[in-house]
Amino acid sequence: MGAVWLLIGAGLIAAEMLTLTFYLLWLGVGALAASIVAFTVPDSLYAQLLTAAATAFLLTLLTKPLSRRLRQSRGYRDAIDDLVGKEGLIVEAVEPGKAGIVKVGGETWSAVSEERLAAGESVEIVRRGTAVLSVRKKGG
Amino acid sequence: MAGLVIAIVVLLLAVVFIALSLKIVPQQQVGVVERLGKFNRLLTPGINLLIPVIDYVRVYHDLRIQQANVPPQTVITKDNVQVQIDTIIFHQVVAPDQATYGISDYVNGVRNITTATLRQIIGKMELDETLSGREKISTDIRLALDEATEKWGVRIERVEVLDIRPPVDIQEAMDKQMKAERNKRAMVLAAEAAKQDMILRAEGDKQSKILKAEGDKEARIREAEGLRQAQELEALGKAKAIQAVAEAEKTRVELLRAAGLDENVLAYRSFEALSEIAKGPANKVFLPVKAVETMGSVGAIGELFKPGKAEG
Repeated sequence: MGAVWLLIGAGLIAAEMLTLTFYLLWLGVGALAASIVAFTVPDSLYAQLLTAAATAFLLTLLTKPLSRRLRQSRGYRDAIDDLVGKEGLIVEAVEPGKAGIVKVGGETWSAVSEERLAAGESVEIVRRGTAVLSVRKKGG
Repeated sequence: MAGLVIAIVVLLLAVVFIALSLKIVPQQQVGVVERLGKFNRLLTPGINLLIPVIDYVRVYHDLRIQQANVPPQTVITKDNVQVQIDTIIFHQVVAPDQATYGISDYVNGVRNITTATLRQIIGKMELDETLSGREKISTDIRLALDEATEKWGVRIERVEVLDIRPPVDIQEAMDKQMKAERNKRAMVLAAEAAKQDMILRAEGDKQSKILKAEGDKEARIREAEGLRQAQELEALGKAKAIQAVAEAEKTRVELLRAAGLDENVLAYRSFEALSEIAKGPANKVFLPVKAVETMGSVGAIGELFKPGKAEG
């Protein structure tokens, strides 16, 4: 019986390597744990099944801290996530209540501000909305 | 036996549970999670744990910049020309929650708002402006679009006008205008060239004449100068010659005087001269008073030279 569990475990882990879904990995590890139980207590299929289920379930719950750590690790950062704090140049004048255009790097954005900003002034980005930036005079 | 069935059921449940609760989200994709129908959180890239049945991923958004082609649109300009305009829109989901709940289909929405805005902007421009004013179109469109899409969670990165095609007859007219303009320029250039040619020729003519006249003048001046110098030199030479002759005469007279042949020689010379005069073709000879006086003495000279008298 232990050999069957081993086979199932190996098969699941191999499938995991091909698909990268993670839950097959946990199920495979569960099957391997069941095979250990099968070698020690060969008669109780009942215990083996429960061990497999419990191991897989526990490992799944343990994924949470793992995923948290993974999330904090470095990933791809989109350029628009780093806009706040950057410097821009006013292209079209901004007036209170009326959006203007600011150029940040190579991109143009709509910009609003509480103060009047003339074209050519350099500004600092305070906040990014969906498509409109809040800016203020640089150093102000 | 019953225990075994329960164990199998538990294992199956565990398999299903695990399959439903683990979600791997690839980079630049975001899932929108609803817990019992309400928005709960965003699934970020990496491995995520969900509570099966209770948590539900409503939609996945791609955060990369996407392109939407807009089929060619007929737009009417301010001067009532229908132009076909071909655009491409680049847009990006910036706020996935708003893109899910703020608008039902943001791709369509982006397409529609862009064409509508474009139509409005071009409707305020004349045909010639639309053909050259891409910069202005793009600033105007940015302001109008950003205002509209602010609540959609989608930013329209840029709207590129691929092509603006005026209708065929207008295009022909534009071609004709262009040709006429070029023809005009060619003709003006030709006329200018002819003018310049004539001016240059005239100038050359003038200069050549002036140069020639100047040359003539100088040549004549030099000639005259040469003549003058030659005459001067000749005169000088003559003067010198006369002087030399006079000097020689003087020396001769002096020598004669020194030799004691004074009055006599003079008399002799006068006589000789007179006889020379008498030999001339004229019958009458006028003699100056002085000469008559001399004549008087000639007789004396003649007597003087008579051998007998001299001896007597």
